[in-house]
Amino acid sequence: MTLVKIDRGVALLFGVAFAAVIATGLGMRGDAGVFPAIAGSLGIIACIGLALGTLRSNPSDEPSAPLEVRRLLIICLCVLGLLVLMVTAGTFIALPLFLFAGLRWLARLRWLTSLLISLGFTAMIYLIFVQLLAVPLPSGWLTS
Amino acid sequence: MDVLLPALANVLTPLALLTLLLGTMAGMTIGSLPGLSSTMGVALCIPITFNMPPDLALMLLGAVYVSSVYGGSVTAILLRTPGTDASIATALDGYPLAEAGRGGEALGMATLASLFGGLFSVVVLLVIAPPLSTVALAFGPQEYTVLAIFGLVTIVGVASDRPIKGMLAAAVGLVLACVGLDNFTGIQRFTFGNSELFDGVPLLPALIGLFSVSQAFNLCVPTAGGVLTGQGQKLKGRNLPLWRDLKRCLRTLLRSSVIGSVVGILPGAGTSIASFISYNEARRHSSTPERFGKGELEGVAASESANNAVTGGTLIPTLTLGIPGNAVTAVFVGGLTIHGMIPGPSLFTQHAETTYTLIFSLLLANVLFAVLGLWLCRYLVVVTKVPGAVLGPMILVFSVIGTYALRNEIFDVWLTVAFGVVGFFMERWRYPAAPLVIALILGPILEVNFRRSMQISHWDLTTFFTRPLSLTLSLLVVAALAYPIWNQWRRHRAALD
Repeated sequence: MTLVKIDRGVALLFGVAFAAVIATGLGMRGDAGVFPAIAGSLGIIACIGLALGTLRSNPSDEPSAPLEVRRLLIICLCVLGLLVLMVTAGTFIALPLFLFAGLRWLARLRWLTSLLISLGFTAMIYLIFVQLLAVPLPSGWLTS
Repeated sequence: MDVLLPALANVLTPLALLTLLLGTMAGMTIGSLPGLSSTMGVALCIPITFNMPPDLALMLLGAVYVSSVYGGSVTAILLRTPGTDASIATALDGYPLAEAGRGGEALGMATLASLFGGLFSVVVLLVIAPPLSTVALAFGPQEYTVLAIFGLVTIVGVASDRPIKGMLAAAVGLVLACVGLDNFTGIQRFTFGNSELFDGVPLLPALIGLFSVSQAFNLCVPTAGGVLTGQGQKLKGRNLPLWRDLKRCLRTLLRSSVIGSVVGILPGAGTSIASFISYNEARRHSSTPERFGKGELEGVAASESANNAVTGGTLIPTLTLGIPGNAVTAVFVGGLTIHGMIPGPSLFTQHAETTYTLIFSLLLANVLFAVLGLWLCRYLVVVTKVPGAVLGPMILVFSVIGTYALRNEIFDVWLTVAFGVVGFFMERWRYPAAPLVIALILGPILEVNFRRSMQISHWDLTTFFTRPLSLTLSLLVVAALAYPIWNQWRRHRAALD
């Protein structure tokens, strides 16, 4: 997809969103909605400007840089897993698993190297945040 | 004087010196890693400072900021891969010098020039900030409204080369700034009944998401992301430039430091702009301009002194007026607010000792990175060989845990990741993130002062032009609005010619 097509989509999507912001702002009690309406109007102007810019003949229309969907999917799933596991199984189970998965599948490090780095980095996080800064990191309802 | 001496004493305690040392080493490492920015470095350090005393916390953030700008020069010179965009101009002459076996001299010059520029800008900060904060005490809501508009206009018009995209990002930031309970009427705005949003969109998760998580995605997603190829140039020869070379560059160092400090004060203009302006000025004034780009020490001196001179300059509007001029100072504002310090004139009255401690610590941080730089720079290159896909998950973990540590809210972590995804696509689709963040910071200032001005003046908009200070600032807004239009018209004319 080219950047011009992306800009067109962004202009349309945000144009609708800003229109909704203005409508909501105008319906607010007192002067609470004045500023959202001003911000929304500014956004609408920007969207119109962006859309008009894409209509002009643009010989320098570049394709968007190719996206490695598989890798993006892996990292998104890993992050999702990290957040879910942090709450359920606890931070210090989620962290090494996340790091191990990331290092193994994204950096393609060897099993042992991935394991050692994951454990070492988790230990560092434990030292900094739990021991040094006394942050009560989630222990997880499955383990507690 | 009654706060200067205690502030100086605060900087010289063993704990403060250790904090500065750690901050400087962290900043140099972050700065030297291509793909990791000063903004990200400061953002990642904020959660660590949460439980620290304010003066130590600010020292750490300040040291990371100034030393990360310097750190970018190491890889620019030895690998032709600038660690940060501030060092792009440094690579133009630094790498040819390294190729010619004069890498040590180039690094030595970069270190001394960074030290010169950094110290110069801190002295400028020390001289200008206190009187400016006194002027700012006379500001009323009208002046603050116009000042916030000025900050937004300049960041949109000057900072981004695509003003429309910058304007769109700023509008999104302003809308996000409206989220939460309204300060005046108490009604909920855009919270969708979510109690976590009653206080508004939390600033730090947004900052960490946009600048750290998005960078982590950037390092993880491309197959070869962040991996530096090739061995780079080996350091040979002397570690310091000759005295006659230094003497020859003295005028350039001074000129570039002035340019860097002035550019830093202007909202929107950043380190890369300052170093390119200084580099061009150095070439224009040189008796041997043909040597620039082929390995000229003066080029390295111009670029490096200018980009480090920006650091002190950018803190002037941030500390005195509460208006952050760029992304990294926007993050700095986040760091100040979690320690209960509201950027603005009150920093020089209520928190004078802590503020002066920060300023003095910047002086020391500059000296520290210079000493460490001359000693350790050859080893920093080793760090840059770490593949991006190894660094990425670690940065993600740090961002997630750091965000959680701020308020112990898992909601903030989800928000950080969401902002990270948004930031990742904004960068790919070339939408600047800085206007969004600055609008998120300036939005509440703008709204509160605009509504106060309207209440005082009974909705008379001329109130912004009838007071001398607000009129002057309004004229600055007009100039800032006219500049990008004039610039575009000039480019259009040049293209036609």
